[in-house]
Amino acid sequence: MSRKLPVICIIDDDLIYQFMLTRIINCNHLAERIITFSDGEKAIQYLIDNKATIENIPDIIFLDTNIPIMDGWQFIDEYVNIKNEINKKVVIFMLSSSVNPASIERASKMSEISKYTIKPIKLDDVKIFFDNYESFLEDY
Amino acid sequence: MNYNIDYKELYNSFPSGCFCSLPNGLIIDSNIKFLELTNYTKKELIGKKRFTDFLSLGSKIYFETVYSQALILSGNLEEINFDFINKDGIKFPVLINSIVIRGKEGAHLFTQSVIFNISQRKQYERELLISKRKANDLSDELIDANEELLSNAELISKQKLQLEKFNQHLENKNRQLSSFAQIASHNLRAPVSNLIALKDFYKESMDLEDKDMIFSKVEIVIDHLSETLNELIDSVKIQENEDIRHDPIIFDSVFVKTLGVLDSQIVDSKAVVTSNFSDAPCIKYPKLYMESIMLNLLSNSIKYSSPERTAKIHFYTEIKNNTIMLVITDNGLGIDLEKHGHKLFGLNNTFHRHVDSKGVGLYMTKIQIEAVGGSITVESEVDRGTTFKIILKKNI
Repeated sequence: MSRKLPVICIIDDDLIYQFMLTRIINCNHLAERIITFSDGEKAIQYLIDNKATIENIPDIIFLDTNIPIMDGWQFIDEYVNIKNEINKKVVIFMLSSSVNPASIERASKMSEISKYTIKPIKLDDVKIFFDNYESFLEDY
Repeated sequence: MNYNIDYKELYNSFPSGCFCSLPNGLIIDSNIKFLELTNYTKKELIGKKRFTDFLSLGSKIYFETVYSQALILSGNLEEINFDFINKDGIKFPVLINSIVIRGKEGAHLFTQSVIFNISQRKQYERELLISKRKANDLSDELIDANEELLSNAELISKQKLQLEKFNQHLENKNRQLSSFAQIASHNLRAPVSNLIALKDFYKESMDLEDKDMIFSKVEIVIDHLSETLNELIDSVKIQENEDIRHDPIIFDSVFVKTLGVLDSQIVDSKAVVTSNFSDAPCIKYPKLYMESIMLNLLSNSIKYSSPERTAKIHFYTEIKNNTIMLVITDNGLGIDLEKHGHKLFGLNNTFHRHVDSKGVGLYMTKIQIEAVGGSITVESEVDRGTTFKIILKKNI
């Protein structure tokens, strides 16, 4: 397949998790490029700063719910405000270590969130995401 | 007008029994009404009977010992009550009025008396007494019932208070449990799952240098995990320790001690730390908690002071509605409460990009305050400052 590899963004304050997810993606050559952030505010600022530069906008965002300064939910709220100015469809995978049913319910109600997954995420899951992420774009 | 009154007729038809007796009591004359009351004929009565012959034993004793003496002394008596028994043995109550008639020398010549049959009045009195007694009984019952109601009401309000207290206790426990579950799920689950994943990486890796690098990550996670566990154990200890000793505490001495502990941070930050505990200079409170609360809040205020101005941090106490409050106010960076208010006191939540941000202090502070039955609230404005208000103790 000569499909162009996606640009990946990981937003997670757990540096170990960032490291592992990056490693899985890199070892399997799943991404063209990986951008990482430890808090939601820096990530949203990046999107705002780069909204005109399509190649800098990620295709997939792995977003942790519990991140400092601006948490995952607040990030989504901010993203909704700017998404019309971004000429690219972005798939957001929400990752959380919370098994709290209220969080799962909340995620299912947000159309911006393509999938809510409870940590830990396995290599197979990541591969499935990458194989299928474009299908998420269709019902977006 | 001139009426020709027949006094003899008037005397005889007089509607009360009238009689005249000698000082020795012998009746020497009576009217017809008196004969009717006694049921004797004039012949059987006059010169033969005494008034005492018609009295019950009790009345007779009273007549002889009290009545006749008092009559001689005062000259007349009115409305004295006796039990009268007629010829047929029929007994009824009478009232008697008597007057002593004296001769010119003052000698007692005879006594004139009038008696009234008061059966009906007595009956009426008895009924009244019975009614009164019933009314009294009823009133007593009402008073009893009222007292019972009052004591029931008191009991109920006491029980209500206990229930409310118990409910509050349960709510507190519930909140602690759910926050504990939240913490266990996030703060423990994440590092543990990281460890498992790192283990797989380590196994799969063929390169020794790569293995070392992975292991260094494992070490980081283990350190973090053990730190989190210790914090959790500390918080559980605090929550379980409800009977902790309350020591007499002087706010100022704990404050001075806190300044000593944080001396280098205060000097480095050039913060101006002031206090005024004159409203409530002392309190009975767990000493360890007070030290930890002041330490956490002061280091927090220093840590999040604004680099653009001299940090001013002020501690003071206040008594409001029987409650001792400790207030800490600063002019620091502030917190966006709308965004972060709901998790301000959670474990490992930080809101600032800051080297020392660890987010444990406020969690522990809240746990300690609540364990003693108090509460902590926060007011803040971004880039203006933060004020923490702590209700230490209610109903002092």
